Amino acid sequence: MPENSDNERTEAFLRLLSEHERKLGIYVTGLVACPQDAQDILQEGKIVMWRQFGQFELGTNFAAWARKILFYQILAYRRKSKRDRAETLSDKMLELLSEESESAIREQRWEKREEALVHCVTKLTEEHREILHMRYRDESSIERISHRTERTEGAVYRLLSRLRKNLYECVEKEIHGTTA
Amino acid sequence: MNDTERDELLELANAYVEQTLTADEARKLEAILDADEEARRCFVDFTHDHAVLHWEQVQGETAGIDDLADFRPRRLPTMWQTLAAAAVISLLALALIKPQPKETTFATMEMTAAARWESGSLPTMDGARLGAGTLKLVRGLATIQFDSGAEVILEAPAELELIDEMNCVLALGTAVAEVSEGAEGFTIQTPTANVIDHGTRFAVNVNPQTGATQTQVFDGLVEVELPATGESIELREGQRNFVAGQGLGAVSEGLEEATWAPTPAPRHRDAGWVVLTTGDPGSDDAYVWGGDPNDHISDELLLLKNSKDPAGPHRKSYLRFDLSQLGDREIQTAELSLRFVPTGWGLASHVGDSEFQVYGITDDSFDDWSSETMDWESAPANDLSNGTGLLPETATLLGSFQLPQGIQSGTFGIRGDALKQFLKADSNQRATLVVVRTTMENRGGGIVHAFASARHSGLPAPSLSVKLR
Repeated sequence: MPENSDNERTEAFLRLLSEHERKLGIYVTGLVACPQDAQDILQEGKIVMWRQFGQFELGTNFAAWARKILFYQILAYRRKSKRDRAETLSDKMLELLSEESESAIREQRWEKREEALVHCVTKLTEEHREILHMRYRDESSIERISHRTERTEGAVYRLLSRLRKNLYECVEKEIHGTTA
Repeated sequence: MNDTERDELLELANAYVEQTLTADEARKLEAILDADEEARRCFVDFTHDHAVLHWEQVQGETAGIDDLADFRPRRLPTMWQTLAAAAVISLLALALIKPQPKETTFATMEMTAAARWESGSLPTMDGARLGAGTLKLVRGLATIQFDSGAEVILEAPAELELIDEMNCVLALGTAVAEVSEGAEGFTIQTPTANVIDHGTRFAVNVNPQTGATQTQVFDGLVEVELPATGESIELREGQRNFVAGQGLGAVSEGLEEATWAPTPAPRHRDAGWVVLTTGDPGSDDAYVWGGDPNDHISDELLLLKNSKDPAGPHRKSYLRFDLSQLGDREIQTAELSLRFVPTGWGLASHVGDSEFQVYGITDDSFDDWSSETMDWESAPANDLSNGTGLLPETATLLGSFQLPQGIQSGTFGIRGDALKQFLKADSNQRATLVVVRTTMENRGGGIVHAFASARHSGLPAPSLSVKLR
């Protein structure tokens, strides 16, 4: 293959990857929940995507193609990791959840959720937003948040749980409720 | 799923997210999800929200295949900074929030309209804070507010590199800049020129092939400098200049429409043409709204919107031209020109390619309206039941035109026999035209289209160009 078209192919890949990377990351994180695991899986997945990019037909749906690769990476990662399998969902369930994710993407439901989520976070109190900040932006552990906010770990855990639930419900309401 | 079941599911989903599931809980969660598709849907939505909150933090921290190309990892500010300064606000208003500035960022993505981006190095989400880097807009419009007070509207296709709060580089395409007090000296560099602002509103267009730079000043004072020699010229309101690389072009008077508009306005230079505008004595323009306009009201613009919700907000625009200037001469051709501009309200992505219709009010006794007093109920021939209709007994369709999705700027309008016949049939030397958008938004919160009214400070009023025999 002439060098020129090799470069073009590399460029096409990098373009597509950077365009879709965030959404792909969200897809993996949604399935495996643990951000660090998701990061590792995405990393491995990107290498596989690059290796197999020759089989990808330009002009077809890159994100869907990439999600397929990533899903296999998720399964492979779960097999490799030594976590107790009893304390998480089965491979079969992950497959069902991945299918459900595909339909959410197809229906563009998640785009709407994301818009609404931004709005819903603004409705939280300053204090609650700060706690979400710590958990997500600073990636603080519950233990660390409990120190910084002078709450018990149990209280922080329950508060985070409540905040996520409130956000979920707020987003549902925004989407199914009113129009602008 | 009833409420109790859903609460239990969300509780377990939270444990999944926090990775604190016990073996018992994992079995329970598995059973719930296995039995019910709705539960799976709820679960993936919940974990998706979690994933979004996480990815807001690491967005753009990419790569790992660095050796393939110059593909630098980057860490970008996103939602949290936007929220830092946020009180309770509407989603659309979010685009207008000024986040707390960070040292590394100096501008904000104020608003994007049907924007499609190619891989640049900066975040493109509304409200995102921007530092140095490149934006590549493939389609639509984007407004970038610099902390210095300069605002740049980028019109696709365009490529803009942000340097700092006073400097940017337009590699290709069109940028319209509005520079408020305090930001004088704001500079747009192009491949062939430096366009330096001295408090004004101006547009720069860079030819993608040649790098040639066209500058037009709508108001105020702009300096165009040749970087190689330091030679410069000044452009004032209504003047334009073209730098093609060989040297500074001459200063020309008058704004050039054709470069900017998707459908260039025809130039009526021969003697046979008379151009009437809604700013002429005896003429008028106004828009009316049905439903709650959400404070989205403009003095300078005439708004158009066909809401999905029958209750609105809808908007229709009315134009009245005084025809007395035409005298008794026979009308040969007539043409209506409207200068569209972005409103910043609503989402272009919620409205497809848009069709607009122009009607003529056939009952001359209805020409007697005033922009001061007219409202939705009193507007002549208005069909109150929706955002697009007019009562057929008193209005006749004269023509239609289209704006592709994401296009909000340019000159559009109608010409043709129907318009000519309508003007000929007039008996009281006044003609009322109504512009409506027939395309309905496909989701709520769709874009509000608009064109400049006679009260607009920088853009031409709606005009009716008539060629007389």
